[in-house]
Amino acid sequence: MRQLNPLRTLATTTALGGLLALSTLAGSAMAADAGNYPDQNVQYIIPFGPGGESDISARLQQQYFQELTGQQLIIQYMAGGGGAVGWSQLNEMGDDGYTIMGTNLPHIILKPMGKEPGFTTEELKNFFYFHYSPDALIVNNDSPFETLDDLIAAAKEAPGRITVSGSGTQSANDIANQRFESLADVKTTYIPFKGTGAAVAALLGDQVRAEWGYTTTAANHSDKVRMLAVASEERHPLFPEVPTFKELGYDMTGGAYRGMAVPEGVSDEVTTELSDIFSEINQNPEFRQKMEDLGFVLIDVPYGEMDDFMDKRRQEYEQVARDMGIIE
Amino acid sequence: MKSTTEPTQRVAARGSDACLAVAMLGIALGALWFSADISIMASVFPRTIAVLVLIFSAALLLRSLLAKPTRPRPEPGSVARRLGLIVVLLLWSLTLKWLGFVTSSLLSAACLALLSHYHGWTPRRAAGYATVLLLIIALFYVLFAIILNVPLPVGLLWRTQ
Amino acid sequence: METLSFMAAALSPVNLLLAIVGVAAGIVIGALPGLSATMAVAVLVPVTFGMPPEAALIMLGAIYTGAIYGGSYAAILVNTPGTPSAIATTFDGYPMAQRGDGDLAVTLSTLSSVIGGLVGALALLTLAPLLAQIALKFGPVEYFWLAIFGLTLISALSEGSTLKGFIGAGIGLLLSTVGVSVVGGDIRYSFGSQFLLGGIETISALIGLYCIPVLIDLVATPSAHLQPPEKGRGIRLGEGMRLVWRGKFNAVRSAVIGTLVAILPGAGGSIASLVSYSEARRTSRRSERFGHGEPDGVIATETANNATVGGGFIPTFVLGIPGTPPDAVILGALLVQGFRTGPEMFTTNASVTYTFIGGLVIATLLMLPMGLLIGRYAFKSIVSIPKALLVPSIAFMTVIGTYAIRNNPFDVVVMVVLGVIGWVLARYGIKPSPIVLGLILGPIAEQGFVQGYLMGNASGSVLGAFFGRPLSLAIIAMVLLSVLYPLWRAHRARRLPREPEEARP
Repeated sequence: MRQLNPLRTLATTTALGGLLALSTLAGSAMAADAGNYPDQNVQYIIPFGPGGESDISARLQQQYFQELTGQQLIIQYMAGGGGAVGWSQLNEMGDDGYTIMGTNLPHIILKPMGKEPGFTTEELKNFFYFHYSPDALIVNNDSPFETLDDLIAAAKEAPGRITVSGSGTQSANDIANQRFESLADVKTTYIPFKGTGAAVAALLGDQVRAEWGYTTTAANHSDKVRMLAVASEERHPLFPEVPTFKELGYDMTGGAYRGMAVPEGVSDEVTTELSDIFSEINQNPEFRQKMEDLGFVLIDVPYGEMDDFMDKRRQEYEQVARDMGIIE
Repeated sequence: MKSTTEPTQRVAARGSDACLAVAMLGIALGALWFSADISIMASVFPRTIAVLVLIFSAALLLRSLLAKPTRPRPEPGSVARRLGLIVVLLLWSLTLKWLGFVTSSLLSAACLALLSHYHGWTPRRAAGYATVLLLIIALFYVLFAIILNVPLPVGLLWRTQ
Repeated sequence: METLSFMAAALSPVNLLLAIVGVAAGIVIGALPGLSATMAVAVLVPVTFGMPPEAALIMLGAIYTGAIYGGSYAAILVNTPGTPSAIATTFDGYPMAQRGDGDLAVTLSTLSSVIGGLVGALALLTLAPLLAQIALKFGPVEYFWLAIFGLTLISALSEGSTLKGFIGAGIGLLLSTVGVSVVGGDIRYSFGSQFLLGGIETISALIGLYCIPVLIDLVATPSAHLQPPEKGRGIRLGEGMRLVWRGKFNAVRSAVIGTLVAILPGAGGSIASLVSYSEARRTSRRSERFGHGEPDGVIATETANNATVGGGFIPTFVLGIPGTPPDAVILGALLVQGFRTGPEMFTTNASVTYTFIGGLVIATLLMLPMGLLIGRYAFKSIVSIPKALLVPSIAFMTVIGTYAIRNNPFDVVVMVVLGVIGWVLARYGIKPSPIVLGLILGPIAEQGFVQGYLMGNASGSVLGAFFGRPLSLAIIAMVLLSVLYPLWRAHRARRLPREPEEARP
């Protein structure tokens, strides 16, 4: 049944294999030239699994990146350790500017405060931060808590009785709860779930009284849940009737910020170029509309202002981390 | 639940069961030892499991000493070739990052073909097998690297800097 | 009637073509170990951006269905679950292939997958809102008890010593705790290595534990990998259909189990197929033949895992909470397309939803001719490949497949090491299945327990939280039944040794 013609000798076949190897090497080793960057597709690594908010917002950028540059933005996943597996390997990746990776706050600041995450915050060369999902305290539509004050009153009456679900420990949700507890001087029971989906399912099934989520969560489940307050500077255009924490007297803004980083070795010209490209995507009205419809809030933090931005966030999180006992 | 359809030959298993039980005792104790610096919430579960493994392993150890356990006769075959395969697979997985996907896969696939071949080699057969293997690797390379956009490792050794 | 006309829209030539391409691509991707349904769907998402929403959904649904079914090929032919859903297919599918019945096993898996897929789609069509409400009743405590129920399957899955089965499950449970913990946020058992931070990927562990031992024993002897089939035999469709007819109750029960497990977010196809496998074994008159190539085993797992496709879409569409990992990707694609999930999926967006369900039914039916065709050649070619080519090819697939799950070379090292350990343990009587069961159920049990404890603490009664809810009590009853029934049966068998039912058939 198998009749193989000995047309090729072993020597030529190995040579062929070598050629194959060489050609792939040559492709990746091509020097980056900032002048006409990008002249090939860019790999965009998301250090989480597919389907989450990091993935969805990257998918939205994907379309406009191609419109703008003519090159494709290829989304890859490298999940594990809440992002740590990806971030700890970023600096080993090709530094020609054709590999970028999504980074998230508060993760990249909080994780290195714990033990051995394999990377430090300073090692990540962030070049653009493009949006955040503001924290929001969410309850079911038929919940007895009509306002934030209702919930605070109930929590004051019976400390620890109010159960609140959220995604993960030492995550944006956990921090939001911690900050809220100290600002409002109440005690709740925070119950960590694996991912926003599981946290919201616990709320919908009446397993918990409230959930720490984001405006995006409320936008996805707008028929079943409502928000008591949002941790953004201004009211979100999708939910003009929901007050901000600031309005109610709690100085709390923040959420899950998302941006991108390149390996350390990428030249400053290419990094600036990348920062410009993504800031232009952020100005696209169609992109803005789609992001807002999903509940995101757009921000522009280009490469030049990154250090200031990160320093500010770091101070905020250090305070909370001290309260939570992550650092001394 | 033993097989009733195909009675297999059985061999004594006292020694092997005792070894297994001791190894598992070691793992359970290790899991307990290394859980010392984990917070209470995150260590309840691994500690409980470790204690259960400890109990079951102790029971297994006792049983191996008191009863006369047997086990099915292991599949016969060449030990050298098995070890060879394990070594090749380990080297393959460890060199992936350094040699790059293509180089380490070509080398390992060639070694494995040599290891698993039991008849003589003729130039014709060697050439035929090499061609087929190359084709298979090329096919998968195209599928993964080009169609599915998987960033296969290019090899840190070949990096220009 | 409107529903039917929407569903008929799936029959348009373009949609039909997308379904065919999707199923074919899905079968190939599912058959390759490591390339899971999740990845297949994720790769396709950007392609679907330019399409109308129903066409995009049909393509994604078809590739998902095809991938779940395709997983059975690798399970039957090389003892490696192509996707986690196909773990239990290895138990009887591979022994069937070893004795030369690989073609029959593939035919059975095809027929069963079609049945399961149809039942799941039917549930999605008719019962979605109701079943979604049931899914919400499951809180952390219920998940905890479900995981405990899952662990009682060990005694059914561990051949030989149950004690060794429990030890194996313990190893799996311990392995599942490696990495960053969800509750507490601690880094556990990583020994300072940044690579162990991400934990042990279930699919890499599966590939290692099931496939590496096959390779190790393959190189040790010159004898053939599988028995070649008798000459001049077809696809054995008639024989397969007779067997499925004989196992019709088994098939329907497994499909129902598959649908119900899938509506619980986070449970997934692997658990659905394991539960239905052990149910099939428990109730079968030929239970002692399970694990040695019993056709009913293949029927049970393959109907169950394809029923999870339709079942998993129920919470995804109704609640916006993905039932299975591939559903999470499809949900993301829907959001990017500007769709909202929820009741409007069945009212304002009904045309899209019902066209999609129609497409799912068509994709499921397409698996029959395509699966039989591909299966016929797959078995014949695997049998006729000489060992010197088979071993490197399988090894190559496991390496590239494991790498591709998370694009992480260290996962390949973990896969090989676990495989070697698994081979050694199997020689000493600890089979891979209990280890895998522990690995899959570990996170569910742990999170359920700690969350349940925290909730109980907040309400003032931990015991009340774990034992006070009717649903938990029902699951606890199932746990007890599952533990006590085999004991009772063994006891009865001892007292009535000559009862005809227990005799060898």
